[in-house]
Amino acid sequence: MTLEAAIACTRFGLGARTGEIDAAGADPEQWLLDQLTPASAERFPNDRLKSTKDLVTTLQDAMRQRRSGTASEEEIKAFRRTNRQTLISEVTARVTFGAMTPAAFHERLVRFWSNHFTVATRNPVTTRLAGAYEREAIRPNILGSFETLAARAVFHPGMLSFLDNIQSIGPTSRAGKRRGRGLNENLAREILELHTVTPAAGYTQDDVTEFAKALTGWTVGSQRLGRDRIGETIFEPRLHEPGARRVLGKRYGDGDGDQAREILRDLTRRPETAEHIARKLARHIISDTPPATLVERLKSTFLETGGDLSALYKTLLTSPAAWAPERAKLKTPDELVTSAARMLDVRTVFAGDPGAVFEGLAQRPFGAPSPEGWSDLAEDWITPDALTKRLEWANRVGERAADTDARDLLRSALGERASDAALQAVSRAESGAQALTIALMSPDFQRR
Amino acid sequence: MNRISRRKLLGLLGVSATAPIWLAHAAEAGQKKFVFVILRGALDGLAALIPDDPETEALRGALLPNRSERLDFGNGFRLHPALGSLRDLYVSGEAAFVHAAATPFRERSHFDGQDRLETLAPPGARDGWLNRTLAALGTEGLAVGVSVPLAFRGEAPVRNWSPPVFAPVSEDLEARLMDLYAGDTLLSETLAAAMAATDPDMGQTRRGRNQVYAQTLGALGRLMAEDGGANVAMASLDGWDTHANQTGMLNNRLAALDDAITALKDALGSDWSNTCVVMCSEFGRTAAANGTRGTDHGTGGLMILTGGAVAGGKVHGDWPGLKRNALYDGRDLAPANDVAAVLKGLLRDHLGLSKSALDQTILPGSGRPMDGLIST
Repeated sequence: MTLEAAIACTRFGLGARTGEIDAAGADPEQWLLDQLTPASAERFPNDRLKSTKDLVTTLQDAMRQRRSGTASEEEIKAFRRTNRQTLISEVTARVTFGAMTPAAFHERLVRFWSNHFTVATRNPVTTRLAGAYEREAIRPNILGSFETLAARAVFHPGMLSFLDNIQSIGPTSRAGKRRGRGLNENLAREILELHTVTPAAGYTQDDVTEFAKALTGWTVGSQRLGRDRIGETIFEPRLHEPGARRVLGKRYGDGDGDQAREILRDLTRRPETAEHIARKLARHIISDTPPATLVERLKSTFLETGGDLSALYKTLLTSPAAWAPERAKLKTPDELVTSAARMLDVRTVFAGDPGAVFEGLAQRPFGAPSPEGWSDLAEDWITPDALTKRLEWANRVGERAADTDARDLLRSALGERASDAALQAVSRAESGAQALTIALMSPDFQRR
Repeated sequence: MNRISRRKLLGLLGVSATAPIWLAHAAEAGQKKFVFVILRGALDGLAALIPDDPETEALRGALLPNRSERLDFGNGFRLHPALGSLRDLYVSGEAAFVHAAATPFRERSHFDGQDRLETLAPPGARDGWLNRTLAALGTEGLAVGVSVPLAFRGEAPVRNWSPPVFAPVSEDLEARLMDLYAGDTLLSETLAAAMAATDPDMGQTRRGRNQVYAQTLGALGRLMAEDGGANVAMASLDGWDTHANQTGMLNNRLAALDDAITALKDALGSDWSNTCVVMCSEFGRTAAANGTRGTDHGTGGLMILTGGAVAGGKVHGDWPGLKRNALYDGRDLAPANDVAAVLKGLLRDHLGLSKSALDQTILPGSGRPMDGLIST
């Protein structure tokens, strides 16, 4: 076992399962690159979960029955429960997959991008769609170009619902003139601010409004619109604001749905976007304050390759900072419990109720507090209260698995990254339960 | 993990169930109750039940409360002042002690020592003596805690119950992590702030923490006292490994233990008179103080016996003393009494288990049971 193999599993992966550090073995960099294939995404148990199309279709059926008065109160309530049940199935599948997958670097990247393009459980519809969104828009698209990933994410029914584009109507479109409803700028603003160029690009309110107008018409097929394509993303010309648009100084001619596609494509290619993605990726994997040279290298790769994400990952893996021994990153609660489940097992870590554990540690899957997603900075995760919660959780896990050998577990999970201080503290614990708690709470395990 | 019934949950929450209280207890009247409490981490028995020997002050006087504060009951030992309720029980004949007690384990590892105490069988055994006791009685056990401890593991059924939320952790665990966080500014500063926020004089959290023992044994007592409740139960109370600055920490622990005994007695109600509780650790601690105002892993430890069924008001067994040549290995209170012999006496006289069951299955290879521990 080498230090690099341990770093591959802990910093780039989601924490080592038994024997994983040995598997990373002789060429950890290549071992990580080998995970970056479409097969890693396809391994996810999609066939046991419902597609967006199914979920929206059943939702539309229920709404129609409700409107026509043919659904009883009980049926309406029962249907509402399916939103939460769908979420629970998605969370369970994700937690289990995260604990078991041999391609944990791929899974880390899925979660990184899912967080970058957050769709959170803000209302019953997004609660229903958040998991399917990640599986359909993010998971299969993290190895290609940023441009493609952004388009798949932004134009997925989950994002169109989450950021209200399905409510947005061109004021002078056919539907707008008839119904007197108008623009919702939410999606346009968040694409500019969070997903692509950031305020560094110096865009104005006019740019936001123009982009929002271009995005009108992009919606989800329903009973009323696009009846033959329920649950799919459709472009509905009757909602689209006619006319040419101007965004960040560039003119986009009068057109259909391609107008917004072209604006988005141009945004993904700008240097501010390259800078934003480079910094965010380096910050996620390497350090809260990544070295400027690394950010610069990633940015150059992004611009030279037209936003090829696989090229970005490769640049990251070949940078010296990637293999520095310091444990610079503090694990988020999701990373902490996932790595614990990889060290132990899902049952011990979650006791059959992942929801309760994530709730206790304040990071519910698909529950980010805003479109910005979860923070990647230690200071946002380690408050006195949050640390106390981690401690109480670890104490619980320790009690549950008191007859494990925490020293062996820590060595197997951290390899050469297990410090003598942590191993010694574990050995000196007063009980098997306390030993495992200390292992989980050691800086070695809390960081990566 | 077995789920607790709604009715039991109501009882735990202090909500009265539908049956009148006299009916709930009628069926169980006279049932013998046995409770085993493991004090994990090694209780410093010499600080809890302080020998009045002249060597005591020399060995560790600085770690002990002033002699005048110790609770005297005139038999060569004084109790730690935090154990006021236990003293009252001793005086009323409902508590007793066995000092200098040990299993055959003579090493220093908590884990191995606890395994030995819980199996009371050669190393490698994977079932516990208390489970073998259940099997001999043909009854189901109750464990309060998130998992079933080794002493209770085996073929006989055991149900366990624990509070449904994250529970507070011990100061000892926090202290150990503070040491481990020495090189990590973010974690050490945050933990220090978390500990300050829960300081005893600052707020309620620390009080809540001190109640964990009482909550555990109180819940255990309520579940046992229920109609059809278990007659054999077990819990673990952690946090006794006092290597450094033990005076204040032990004061808190012992006060919490004292409260827990009261909570158990109150919860058992009329069943207390038929109950025998035994509490002990995997081993004792060194006779002398170490260089960090604490004590290290030792050998002879303290067993606390309480409950209405116990032959109380007495320190049972032998006392080896603390003279230099009496210490084990020149450093520990010598193992003068066998833990298995004490348990054997309790199981025989309290639960009526036969000599053959005790000798052959429950405590194989053990010696003569200690007599006179249960009141007649």
